[in-house]
Amino acid sequence: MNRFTQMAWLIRGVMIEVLRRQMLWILFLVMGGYALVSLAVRQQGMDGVGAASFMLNLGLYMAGMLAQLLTALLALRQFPSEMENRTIYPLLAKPLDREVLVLGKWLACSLGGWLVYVMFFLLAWLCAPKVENLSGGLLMQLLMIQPLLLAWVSAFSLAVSLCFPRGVSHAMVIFMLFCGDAICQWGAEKWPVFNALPRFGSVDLATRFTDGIGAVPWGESLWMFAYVCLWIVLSLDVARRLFVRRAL
Amino acid sequence: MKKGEYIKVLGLWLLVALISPQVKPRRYEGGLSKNIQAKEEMNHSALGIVLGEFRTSLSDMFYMQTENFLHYGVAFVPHEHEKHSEASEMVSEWTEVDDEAGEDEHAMHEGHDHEHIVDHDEDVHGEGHEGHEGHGHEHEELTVIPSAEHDFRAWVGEMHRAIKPWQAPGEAHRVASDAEVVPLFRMMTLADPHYVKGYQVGAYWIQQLDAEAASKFLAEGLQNNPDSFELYLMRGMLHLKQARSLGEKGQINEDNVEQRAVLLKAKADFQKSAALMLQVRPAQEIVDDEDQILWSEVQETDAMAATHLSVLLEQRVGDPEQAKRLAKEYSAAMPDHKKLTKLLQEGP
Repeated sequence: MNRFTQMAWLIRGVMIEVLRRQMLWILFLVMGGYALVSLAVRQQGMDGVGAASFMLNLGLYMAGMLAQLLTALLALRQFPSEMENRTIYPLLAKPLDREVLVLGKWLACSLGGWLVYVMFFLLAWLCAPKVENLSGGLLMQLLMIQPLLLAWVSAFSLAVSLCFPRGVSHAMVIFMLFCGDAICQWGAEKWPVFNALPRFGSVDLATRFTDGIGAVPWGESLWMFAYVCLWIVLSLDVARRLFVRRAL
Repeated sequence: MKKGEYIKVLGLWLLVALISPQVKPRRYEGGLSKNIQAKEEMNHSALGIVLGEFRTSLSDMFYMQTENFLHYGVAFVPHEHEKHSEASEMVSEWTEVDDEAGEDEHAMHEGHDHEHIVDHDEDVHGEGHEGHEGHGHEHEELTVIPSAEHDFRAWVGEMHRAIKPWQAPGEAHRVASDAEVVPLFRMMTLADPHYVKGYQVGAYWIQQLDAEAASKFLAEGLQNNPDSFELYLMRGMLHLKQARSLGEKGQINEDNVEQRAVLLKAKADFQKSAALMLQVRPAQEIVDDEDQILWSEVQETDAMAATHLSVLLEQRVGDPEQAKRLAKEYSAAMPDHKKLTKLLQEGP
């Protein structure tokens, strides 16, 4: 079995796990609630600029946030659960390279999050009232950055789950997911060391999009993509090093 | 991990930290909730009524809270105040009286300052005389809870008026003390660092308590909104006030070295403000159109103040010839600016 086949099997395993978990269906219920409200708003003709933009913003924000949450929770439980249930031994006995295992888990969690995001995005887009004059360029950037953002969330969660106990890692990742950007903005002015914190919220383009602002200029978007890619590389590298040297 | 591996990871982390300040895709001016037309729609949309204050952004919500607070909890229907020449009026008093009786007697009163700054903000501070109990309105503002004559709810309406803060039409307008609204401005600018109005009006309230803190607050606003002409104007006004505080009895004397240094800073801010304003102000015919929504009356007033003060300070503490050139440049863009025309006619 070559590396790609091994990864494909790992991805399949994680996908089955996603479908078996209640989490996905709870998130679908939340998005379903949004879709119902959104359709009711359209049905009642409350589709002025403000209302339409509010509903679309809410939908896109929820799609992004729920997908990130699902990805993080999925990635956070991969290694700790496998180790706790001792299912990691048969996996490694296949034999499966530890690096391949880390990469496969990361790809699987990212892909799972991205698929959920696509579904939620379509739901929000189709159900929300139509908003005029939105930037096509920014929409493209939004759709391009989102898979990378989910890959970052996944890699970061894997790395954190290998560093800290389960409860601490969950609290840390969820806190950084929701408050990382705000904490960084608050602290970086006085202490530049805050710039080293992950700012997941800083690359969320949904609000800029629904505010009717144009695409992010090329220079700035390159910084943005470079920032996310570097974080992915850093997180994966840390996760790989921690797992490869871990005594099981 | 080996030492070399630690260094690699730390190096990568350092690189990420260095790139981090460059990532600011959410740094942009305005947004839908700051667009006049969109805001109007939000205030009147059915969804807006259903969702209440949660319909807008968090900073808009804090802004509405300041309004409620300053009006002693009385909720007024969003309204436009009576027309006023705002900052230009304050500037004209400062200059015209100076011309007639010498500048020593005509320090810029805090009241003028207040009128100017508060008038920027239509909804929050009303006529902007904090602590002046019973200041009357020239016009009647509508409260969200209607008066008995306009309320179909009979005794329910009576009860509503009795248990909620309410003010009868024509009653003297009261504006509460300022200090306690400061945290709201802090929170609204934290929630949305691009909320220029929050920085502008917040700086006004803060400077009454602590000029240094107001200056820092504005510096933060300018860092987040480097293209905002309103904030440069505001900082210039703070410098102007600082210059007055350095003189005896609040008088301005251009020969005083300390005052002159501060006035030069004010001049730089006004000129920067005017330059930024000219980049974003629509053509005069658009501004003159009463139905246009691109440029508000408040923005126009700020624009007039920025250009006027820019020329005025150039005349006083800079180069009079340059002042003339600036006046010509500004007049070309704002032909209706009477103060500038007057300055041009008077010459250096």
